[in-house]
Amino acid sequence: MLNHAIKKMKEDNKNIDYLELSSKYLSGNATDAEVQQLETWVLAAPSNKKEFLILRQAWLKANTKVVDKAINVNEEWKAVEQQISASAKMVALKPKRRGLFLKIAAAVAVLVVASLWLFQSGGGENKLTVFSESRLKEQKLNDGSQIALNQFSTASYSVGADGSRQVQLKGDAFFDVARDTSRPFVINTQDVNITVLGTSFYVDSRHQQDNIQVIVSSGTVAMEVGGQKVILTKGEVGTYVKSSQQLSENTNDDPNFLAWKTKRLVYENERLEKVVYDLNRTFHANVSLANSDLNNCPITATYQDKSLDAILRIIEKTLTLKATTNGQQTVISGTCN
Amino acid sequence: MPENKANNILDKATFEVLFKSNFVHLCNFALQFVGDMDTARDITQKIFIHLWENRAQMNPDKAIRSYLFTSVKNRCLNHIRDQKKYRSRILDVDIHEVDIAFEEDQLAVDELQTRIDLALSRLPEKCRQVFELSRFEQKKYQEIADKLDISKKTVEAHMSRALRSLREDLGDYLYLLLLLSANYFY
Repeated sequence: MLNHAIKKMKEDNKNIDYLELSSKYLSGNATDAEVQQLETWVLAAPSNKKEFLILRQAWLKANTKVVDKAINVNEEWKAVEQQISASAKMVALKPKRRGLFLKIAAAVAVLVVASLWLFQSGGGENKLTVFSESRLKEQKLNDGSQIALNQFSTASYSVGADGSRQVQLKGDAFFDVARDTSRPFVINTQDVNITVLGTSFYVDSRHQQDNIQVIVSSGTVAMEVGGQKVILTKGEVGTYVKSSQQLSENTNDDPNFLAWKTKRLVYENERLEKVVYDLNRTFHANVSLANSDLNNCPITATYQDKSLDAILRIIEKTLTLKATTNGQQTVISGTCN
Repeated sequence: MPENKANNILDKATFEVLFKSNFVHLCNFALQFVGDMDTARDITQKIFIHLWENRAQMNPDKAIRSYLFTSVKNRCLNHIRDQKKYRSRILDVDIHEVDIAFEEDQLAVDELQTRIDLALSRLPEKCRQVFELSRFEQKKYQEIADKLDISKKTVEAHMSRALRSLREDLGDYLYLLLLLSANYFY
């Protein structure tokens, strides 16, 4: 997807090889004419500027590696300590300087403005709200992004005053976000902010769950809550544990997170507890196990296009258990070996 | 935003902790701008000494760290300017926008390091060699061409490719990090 975006950008700027100019500029190899050419290109469009900023960041940060081992902090501290001790008397006599505070205030103000810019939920007029009720619902947005809502979920889409794309989510959904680096796509759900540029991923923010999860199918996703943040790429999962308020990232080893969309559940010697978890997520059901001995009952099976009821019947048979449904709740009981 | 506490002047013990827990990150940050370690170290030391001398005006809260990173960056830019090393005010300074240092966040730095190593390891051998000579040793294109016995045009092509590849592997990651770091203090 990124390749495609870069290719497209290249086509848009046929006359200029900005990658060559940027690498020359950043490495200090550009001629004056080339510097000017690059300046013109960068200033020509906001997307160019952003692209250059990203390239420069990649260039700058690539140098992160060398430092750590080369510095002995204790030695450095000794040197600084000597200096501040030596200058102690002089300092006491120095007039107090102002300005420092102002500088900090200015820096903070810039940051606050930046964050307002990002997460302001302004606009509101062009709000699009989608409910899924008891069926899966897919909605295409006018920016080309696609949202697939699992059952009983809600998404409200609006465009902020700055053009940023914003979604309020209740429940769980799969997002396929059209790439637009100049307009971040921000999903807000139960205190968690998820920021992306263009990517596809699943958000599980069902209210009754202990965790909020983001599982990434492609691209890069930033997940942020109360000052904690993780940045996830393909095949990774971010988990926010509500009770402990801890945010963490892991490799995703759950092949069934999109079963509600694909109608396919695959198990290879999986624990029954996990199967029940998946059934609840896939069907927004309320299935539980009568006792914890059942947690480890092994299941190897593929359920394709099966209803919850059909899957429960199969489980009953293969493990010789009993599934009893009472209103909304289903309890699986019995013993397996 | 942390509240400013009156009469809460930075003491030496706190300063030492602040120094020891941030010095390497700040050097790292400075190195990105100035290119050589001695200058980076020198600038970072000076910023700390300046902080100590002006501690009466500071509060030992989180704002100090933001201040440190901002100061290091500004001093680095001044340094580059004085050395006549920067070529374009527009490209080096004016468009800095949101890139306040996320180096404040150790986790982010550690993870970034892993991703950079991975991105570099994905480059073809020659391409990586060229990039590393340019990025880590500040060699000019012509010097690299001579050293590796290839044409300058080939060096240019390798550099473009390396940058594109880094951008693909790290670009979105960095950009999101920047967006988040702007939000981080809020």
